[in-house]
Amino acid sequence: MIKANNLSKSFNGNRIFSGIDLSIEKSTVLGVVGNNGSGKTTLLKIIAGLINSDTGSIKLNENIKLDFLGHENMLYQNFSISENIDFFSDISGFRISSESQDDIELALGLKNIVKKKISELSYGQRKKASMLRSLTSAPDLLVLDEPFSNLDSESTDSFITILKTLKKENKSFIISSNRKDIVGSISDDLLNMEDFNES
Amino acid sequence: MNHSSDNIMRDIKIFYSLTKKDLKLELRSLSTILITIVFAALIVVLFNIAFPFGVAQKSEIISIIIWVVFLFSSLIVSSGMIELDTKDNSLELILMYGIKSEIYFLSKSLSVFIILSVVQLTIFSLFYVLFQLSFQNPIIILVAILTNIGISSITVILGILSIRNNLNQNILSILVIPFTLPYLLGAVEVTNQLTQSGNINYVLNSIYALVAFDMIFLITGAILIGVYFKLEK
Repeated sequence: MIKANNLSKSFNGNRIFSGIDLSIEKSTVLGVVGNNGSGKTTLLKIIAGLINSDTGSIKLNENIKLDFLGHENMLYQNFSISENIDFFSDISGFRISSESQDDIELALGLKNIVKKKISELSYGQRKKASMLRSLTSAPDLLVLDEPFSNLDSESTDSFITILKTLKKENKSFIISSNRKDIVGSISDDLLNMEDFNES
Repeated sequence: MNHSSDNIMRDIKIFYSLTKKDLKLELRSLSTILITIVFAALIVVLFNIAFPFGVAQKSEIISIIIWVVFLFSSLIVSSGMIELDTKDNSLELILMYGIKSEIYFLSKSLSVFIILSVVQLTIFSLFYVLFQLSFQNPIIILVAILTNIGISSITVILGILSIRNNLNQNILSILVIPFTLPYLLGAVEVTNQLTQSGNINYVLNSIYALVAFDMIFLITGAILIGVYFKLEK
């Protein structure tokens, strides 16, 4: 599905990481772990095509749809959850069926608040809203940057359940976190960023 | 053939979605439009106090004031419209979905143009009331539209270019002056001629120049923003 070779990145002359090779097949989860500042977000942004790496290459199979969920919720605060989903579906051209969307809304506990503006939601609800947004674009590969940070245990569990269900439907995930216990429990493979940091 | 017409239809749909999103968000908060109108009204009233009726060369001075007020209003509008996408980093998602940079630039310019037209209407009404400035010749509407297109596109270009600049929006107000000065001189001249004589023959060349500047700004902007987004990666 996606193959990357010899990825490296520097900022202002400081090498963040180098020599990263990775490969993700259908229906797999790759966990990216490491401390703060180890380059997890940078690596995920490179994979999502948001920034370029200094060296190496990424090969993505044709017709693979990729989506990204970042640290920030990347949603318009004065739009409701459903308006945000409608807008991003319009510009991406992809959307899951309304039945599947209903199921995810229910699982994330957002069913009754989809008409609420993002600015009216709590931090946890915003996080779930951006997860919902990323899942409704029907991605084959979903790149998730710290999806469990500041989520309560109930929300974390429901999100893990959704990921496991989607994995069975041939979806793949790259998940970064400094919570090695959670990521380790759902990943088929783990990439420790500290192995690629320059000391 | 079918594939290319599908692509064009998709680009049009994306252009429409981006513009609709900007206008919907702005109409919901009214934050940019209200701040700009209050700012413009304040300056017009101050000038009205500073230049009492009967001052020599009143018409020339007013023509300059109209476009200076309009230029600085456009900075507030374009900053506000660009911030809609940068505040929570939704611009990254827009770019990740492979939206063409020229589509993004043109839709943003149209959003700024529409909001600025409302501001422009307010400014012209204020000048009519406070300075008894007569806009007898309908050509002034064409001049207003042409100038609005140019100012909208140049402020969007500079606004996008300053997104990741450390000086951010502060640099916009400095950069915009040398870029728009020759353009605004044309607009001032046309407004002055039209409010004085109303004879279109005196201003035809200036109108052609405004059209040429608009074309240059729109084409250069579409190319420049594409290069900028690539370099920023």
